[in-house]
Amino acid sequence: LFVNPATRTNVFARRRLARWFPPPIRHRLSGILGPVLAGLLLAIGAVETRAAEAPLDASVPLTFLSEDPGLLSEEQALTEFGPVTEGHTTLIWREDPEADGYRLLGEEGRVLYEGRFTQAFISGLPNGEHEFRVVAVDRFGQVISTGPAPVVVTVQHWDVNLAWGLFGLGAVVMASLGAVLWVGTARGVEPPRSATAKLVTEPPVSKPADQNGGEA
Amino acid sequence: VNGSFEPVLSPHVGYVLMTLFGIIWVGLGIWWGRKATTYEGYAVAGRNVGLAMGAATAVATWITSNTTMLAPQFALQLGVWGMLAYSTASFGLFAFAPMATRIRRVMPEGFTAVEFIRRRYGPPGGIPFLLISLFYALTWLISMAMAGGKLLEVLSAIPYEQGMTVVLTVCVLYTLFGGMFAVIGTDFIQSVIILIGLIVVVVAVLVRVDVSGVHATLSAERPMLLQVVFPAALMALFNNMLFGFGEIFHSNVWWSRAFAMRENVGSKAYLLGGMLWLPVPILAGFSGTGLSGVGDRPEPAGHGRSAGGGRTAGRHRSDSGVHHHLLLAGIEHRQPAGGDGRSAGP
Repeated sequence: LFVNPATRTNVFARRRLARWFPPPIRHRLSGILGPVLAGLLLAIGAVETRAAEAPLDASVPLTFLSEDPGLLSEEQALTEFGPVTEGHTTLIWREDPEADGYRLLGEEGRVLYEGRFTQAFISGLPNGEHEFRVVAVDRFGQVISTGPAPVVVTVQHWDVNLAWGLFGLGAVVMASLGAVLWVGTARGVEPPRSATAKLVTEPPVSKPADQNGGEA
Repeated sequence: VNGSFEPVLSPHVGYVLMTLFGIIWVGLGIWWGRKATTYEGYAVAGRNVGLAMGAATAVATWITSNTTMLAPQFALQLGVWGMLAYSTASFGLFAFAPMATRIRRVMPEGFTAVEFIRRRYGPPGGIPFLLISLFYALTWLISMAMAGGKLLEVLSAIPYEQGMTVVLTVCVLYTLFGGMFAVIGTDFIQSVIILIGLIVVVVAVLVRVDVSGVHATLSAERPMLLQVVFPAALMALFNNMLFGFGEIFHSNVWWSRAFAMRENVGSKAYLLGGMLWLPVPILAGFSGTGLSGVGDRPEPAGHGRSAGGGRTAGRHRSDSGVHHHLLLAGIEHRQPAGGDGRSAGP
């Protein structure tokens, strides 16, 4: 209704634009926004070019996949990810129909997992980049195929000062809570009479021990 | 090979055990339920629960599926700190101990936590608290049933939906028939089974595993698990403790047990329960780290593997790791959304 059929523009939008951004400001903005937009387009193009330069087919057996189930449905292959701030992660790879099992290899060819699942949980990693490879094995434990590419996990633990700060904050909170409970119990503080009056509906009645069959 | 595994028990044995336990539990519920001749007997076991039963019910209630299945995961994720962090959930029981006696004294005729909040703060406090309590109780019940279903599936390949349904039905039935008498009675039996089971698992791990070898493996492959300055683990310690306090202080399962205990028994029972519970996550976590050190180690080609892929000693070892990982994966994938994957119960 409000689109000018000749110019295909929204007339109200144009008027608002002209009111909010008079010509001098508009020219100045276009001088700034132009290069910024061009830069953004170039950056997006560079990212797309980079992705296009290293295509990784997620359907190839033993390709590492994103651990995010949402992304997994898109079959996104992984060659690197991070930073991992807790030092643990789950590595998932594409099933190899020929395999009887898998081995996940870490640095220096160290075997971190061997089994029949297509995922492995890795934890306790220190700061730095860690490279993992997966190989498929037959029922005799012989390697029958190797993954097309390793995955590099970058680990960068939370800042130690932040961690100690939060640790201290937690200690203060819990100590305060403990002190309130301790002091309240030691002093035997009774709740206000107005409160207990509402709570104690009937006076305590001592019952015979076997009224309901004795001990539960 | 896509996630397939051989269960420890055959489905036939699994179904027999599940049926047997179900019948025993429901039978006990009916048997104990005969004692509940009044509402007070049904809801709070006649307010006559002694120290032994009181401590046992505190332990069994706090040893949830999370304790036995998530504590090893904490150990695998956060190492030694993770085990300690998990065990601090027992501090909630210690803190609740003096409150238990006080609750019993202030509300000698009380039944629920919601009742206290409603009388103390009126409907503006009581209604939100009731909604929160209902939501929490439902989450607790479902998460336990899910854990039971998952465990049955892992151990005996009983379909998850069937196992979960049976666990849920049996729990509801014995509680329905027996009330608090059945809950506390079965809690006592469960405490004994769980504590014996954990000791057996730890002894089995110690017998089969070279501890110094585990230490060496962890130092080489998962060094942060043994580090004192492990940032994520440091941040988890008090977080976990506060979580435990919050769960225990608000939840009606603890209040109703406090109402069920004899006067002056509550504080001792919760203190004793806390002391019995404290080492459980450490034992469970130790089995997790122990398995992580050896469970998935490869057997050299030709050693411990038969040509037909039969179950040899080596295969058993590998499978134990697989089962362990499956348990952890099951918990990770089935927990309701949460910062650290936890749901109701420690």
